[in-house]
Amino acid sequence: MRNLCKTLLGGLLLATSALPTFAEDPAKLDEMFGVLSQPAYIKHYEANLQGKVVLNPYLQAANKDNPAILDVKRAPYNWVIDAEGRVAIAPEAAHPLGRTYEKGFFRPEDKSTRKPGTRENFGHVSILGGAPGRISGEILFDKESKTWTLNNKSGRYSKHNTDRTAEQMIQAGKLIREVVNPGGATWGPVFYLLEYAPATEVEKHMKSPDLAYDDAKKKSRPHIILMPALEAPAKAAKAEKKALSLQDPKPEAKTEKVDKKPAVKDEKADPKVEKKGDAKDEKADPKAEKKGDAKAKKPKKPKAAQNDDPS
Amino acid sequence: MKTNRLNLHKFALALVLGSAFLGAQTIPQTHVVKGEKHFIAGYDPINIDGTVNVVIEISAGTTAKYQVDVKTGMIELEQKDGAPRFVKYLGYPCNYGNIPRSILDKKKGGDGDAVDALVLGAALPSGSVVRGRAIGILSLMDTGEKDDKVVVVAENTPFAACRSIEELDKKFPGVTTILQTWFTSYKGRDKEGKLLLSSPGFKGRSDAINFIGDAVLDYEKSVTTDADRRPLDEKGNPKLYRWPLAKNMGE
Repeated sequence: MRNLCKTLLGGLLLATSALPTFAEDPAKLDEMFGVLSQPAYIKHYEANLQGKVVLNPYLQAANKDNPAILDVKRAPYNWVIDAEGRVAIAPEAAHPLGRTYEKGFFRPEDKSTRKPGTRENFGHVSILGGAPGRISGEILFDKESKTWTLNNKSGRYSKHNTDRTAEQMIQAGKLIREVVNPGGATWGPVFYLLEYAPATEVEKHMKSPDLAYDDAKKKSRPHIILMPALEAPAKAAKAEKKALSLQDPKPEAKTEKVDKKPAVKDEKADPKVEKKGDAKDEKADPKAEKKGDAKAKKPKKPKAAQNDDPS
Repeated sequence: MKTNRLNLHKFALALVLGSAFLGAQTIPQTHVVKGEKHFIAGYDPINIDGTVNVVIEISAGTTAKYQVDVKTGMIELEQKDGAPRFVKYLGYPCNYGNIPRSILDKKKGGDGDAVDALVLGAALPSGSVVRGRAIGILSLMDTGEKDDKVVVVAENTPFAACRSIEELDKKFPGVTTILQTWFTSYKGRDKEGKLLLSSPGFKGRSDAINFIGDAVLDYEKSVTTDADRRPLDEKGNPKLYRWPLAKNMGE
């Protein structure tokens, strides 16, 4: 009788585990993360001559069963919630079919003039291979606070869509914090950029007392902080950086650290990261440079987005 | 009687395999596995769900050194001094293969070959293309040169539940030790009695993702020419490629 009960209980557990979860219901996903939409545009270098959108080779598609991991040396990352509710992430790397424009260029999608030396990188479209996606944005590393900030900055999947709400950004922020390992850093605030929000949301939040700007005088990059930074440091990723020693006499190999370099030094070694993050951040806040040493120690507020590139 | 015959067959087979394994008597042969596509250039390295594809060259438990020929794109039994090459050691502890469309750039200290992968799971035949997740790297030094191998857990196997080297160690005790011991020992020792290969240990998943991504990008860069790029307009600006401005109207 006991065995029969055990078998029945086991069968019941198996059956329930095979049922679709709440997160997999397309209607619920539409509500939580926005309706699945085609990217607003695909840049000329993102598809090969056969029309196939080249995947970013650093792609990770995260859910509860398969968490992703971030690396401060590879920041910044782009993220998109895909059709199945996974968080697809990939760092911005140089695209093999892209070019570097020494004299700058005119970009037809947003009719903007890009600065000299601009390189064509993998964008959000390369994370999903050009497929439809839900709300999307960036994961930026703020060196000052050693935190990852999240925003909704995507010209393909967030902007131009009428339902990419602040509530969806909160849901996405919660999911990302749950299924993406911050790689030894911690989670910073979650920003909702009004330049990438639908008109109804802009109207609502422009009157909000929580409205903030990257530069209050210039009223640049209006945004709302939806979720504050997390305080507890993530320990899980430290384990990732450990190595197993062959010389270990124990049957189970012992771990030892491989990479002890601080994230800031690593970033300095990478000119790409230096160029993308710091240079523009400093320009946006000229006062910060003039302040004395004592004041310089005061941590700066993380920026809501990294640059003016709308992709 | 029937059973006895079978046993005799098995005994004969064991003799042949045993002699091949010991390297005392190898049967000269050329064995080629031709796939539906070129085994290096024909398959995507990464899938949309974040898994990687691995072309299996050597099946777990075997000793024959099969490898993809970059020119023909076929898997061939390696030949050395006019004879097929067999590992003179225990059979491979896991499936061994490479990640298509990847290259370890010689300029960056690589060997110019595709990324080697150790695929954990049941034995798979040469020429299989299997999906899995990279969980780490077995760092190896072969006579002073880096020879790192990515550790991949194949989908739909008991190992698929492992997300890191630490988890692999916890859930499957001894596997990391077996891999390290086998790969540092199978080539034997030098004249001074030192093992020809050495291993400083394993690296984590983040390193594995970066290692594969870098190698795939290096491959794409190596095969991309200006002819593969879309032409610019007369002023040197990109042309509009696809601009549906897809709008979700909230309907």
